[in-house]
Amino acid sequence: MTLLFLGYGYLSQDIQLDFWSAEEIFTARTFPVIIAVGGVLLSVLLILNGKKVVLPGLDEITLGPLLLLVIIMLVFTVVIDELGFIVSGVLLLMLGSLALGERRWHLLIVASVPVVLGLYLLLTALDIHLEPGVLRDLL
Amino acid sequence: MIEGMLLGLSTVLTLQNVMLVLAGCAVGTLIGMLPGLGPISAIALMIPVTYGFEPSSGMILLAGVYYGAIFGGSTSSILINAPGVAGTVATAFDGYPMARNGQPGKALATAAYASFAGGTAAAVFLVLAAPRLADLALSFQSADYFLMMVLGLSLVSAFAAEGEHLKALIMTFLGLGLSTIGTDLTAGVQRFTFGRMDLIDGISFLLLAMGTFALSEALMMVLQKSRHSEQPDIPRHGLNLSLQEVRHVLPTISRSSIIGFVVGVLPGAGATIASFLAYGVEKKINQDAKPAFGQGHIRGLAAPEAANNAACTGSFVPLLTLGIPGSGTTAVLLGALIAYGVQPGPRLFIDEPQIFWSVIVSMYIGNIFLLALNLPLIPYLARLLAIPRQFLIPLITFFSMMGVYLVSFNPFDLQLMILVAMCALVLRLFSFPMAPLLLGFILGGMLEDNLRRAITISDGDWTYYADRPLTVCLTLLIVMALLSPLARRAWRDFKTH
Repeated sequence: MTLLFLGYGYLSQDIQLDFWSAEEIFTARTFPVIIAVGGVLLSVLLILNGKKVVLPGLDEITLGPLLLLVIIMLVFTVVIDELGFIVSGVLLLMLGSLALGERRWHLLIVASVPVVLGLYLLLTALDIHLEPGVLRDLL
Repeated sequence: MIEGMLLGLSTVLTLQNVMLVLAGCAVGTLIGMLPGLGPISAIALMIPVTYGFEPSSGMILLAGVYYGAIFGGSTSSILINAPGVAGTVATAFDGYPMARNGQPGKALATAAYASFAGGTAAAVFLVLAAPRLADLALSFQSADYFLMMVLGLSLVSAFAAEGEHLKALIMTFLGLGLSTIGTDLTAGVQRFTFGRMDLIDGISFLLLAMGTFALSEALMMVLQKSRHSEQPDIPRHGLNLSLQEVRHVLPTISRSSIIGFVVGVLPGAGATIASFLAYGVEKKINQDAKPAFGQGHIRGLAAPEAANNAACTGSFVPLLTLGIPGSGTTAVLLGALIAYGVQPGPRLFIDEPQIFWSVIVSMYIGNIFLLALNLPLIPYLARLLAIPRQFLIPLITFFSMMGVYLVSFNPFDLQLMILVAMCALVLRLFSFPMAPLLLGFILGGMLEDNLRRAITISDGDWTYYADRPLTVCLTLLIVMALLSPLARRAWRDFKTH
């Protein structure tokens, strides 16, 4: 946290000031500097005040499925404009459930297709346009 | 005031708005019931839907979602001992034992009636208090607003859980820091954008709310497999109370409603403190009760429920009259109002009375709908708690991402949200609270504007903050709020030695 606020304070000095505003009492840098100084002081206090943090044991946490889900989400952000709302949404739900251990295909379909189609119809009814993507010709 | 109420009634009581309150309550209950998802996530998820409506209709929908989510959170607390939000933790103390003792229907009915009574009583207090405070707030200056916001942020830290005061303050500063990303509209310069066009308008509050609450909670559920795995005991009958039981809980509800409203008005305190305080008071009053508090006593359930709903209503007082949110949830509501082009504060009462009064009236209506419609539907809605996690987590993920995407249609926002959620996940593992971050983020812009204005007016003289009785009082309250955790610790040490 201390490093984060130090970095923030350092970057605040990169904020460009116009020559007529540089002499003002309150510039675009003032508030970030106050935040950085306050943040550094508090995070140092936290370290000085430090109590041992108890994290859940490694056997209690499951990193594999978490990373898999994050990768699926990131892929979703890349393909959503290309594939469109319906296809990418169904894929996100199906692959997400697969990553978390579900293997029954009929349930994967039941838990994804109606949800995405229902939301698509609701949003279309509310005049919110959603990119059909690869289904453009079909819809 | 009567004119205002009539205006509010005429705004709310249209077919569209009644349907919106109804939909808001139902959706809020459904989302709030999902373990880990509270009112912040529920409101954030629904905000994109409200963009198609008038601001007053949007707020009516969101007020319904707020109440529904609190009620839904109580349901998961009672049935599976998994409070969706901190505000319903105390509900589980006696609600869950009641459900385990074969009275899940009675426990849910008690929660619903207590919530209704608490919410309705607080709505009456709100009608009485809000216009007076709005009148008073018209005389406030920039320095007063600045100090009031600092007081709110300091109280968030003062009321944080034991041992988390410093962490809450750090998260507030982090939120303030995030609020400075984007273009500084007064100076017209970019700050912390790293030359990216996507960051010129800053980070959207919706993205931050979704990333730090809904999405990070979903990721936490993946990380800790054992969380929320209990199957609910779904009630099929007995969703009512006898006259004797109503008489028994009535004094509790009255006391807890007053406690809840007063605590809710305080910036930073909110439903959690209110529910614990009301529970503590009732426990003290009913020391010899049987069954004992904590083993399924009906008053132990009614007290936190009445108080947390009253506190929710109370938290609208600073939001509507001063434009200062007192909790993470009202911070999200403030963000929604700003997105509609409405600036809450004392002028809202004068300039846009239909919004001011329709929000207040929609609380009455929302409460009535919750009681009349949600309670009979609980046996069906509660089945949602039985959704296996391998389907529930992707659903939360999908709705969180769509909520953000529907606002900007920009995949960069989704990638940023994933990054925020991952950071939030790590911070939560180290017990850093998320609500102060959101509060700091929402207040950051207003805080800077008021500080800038006050400093410019006083020509750089910082004593400007101590030259009037109001500013001196506020400064003293801030110092007291910041020092209160230290004072509490010193007092405890003194008592033990």
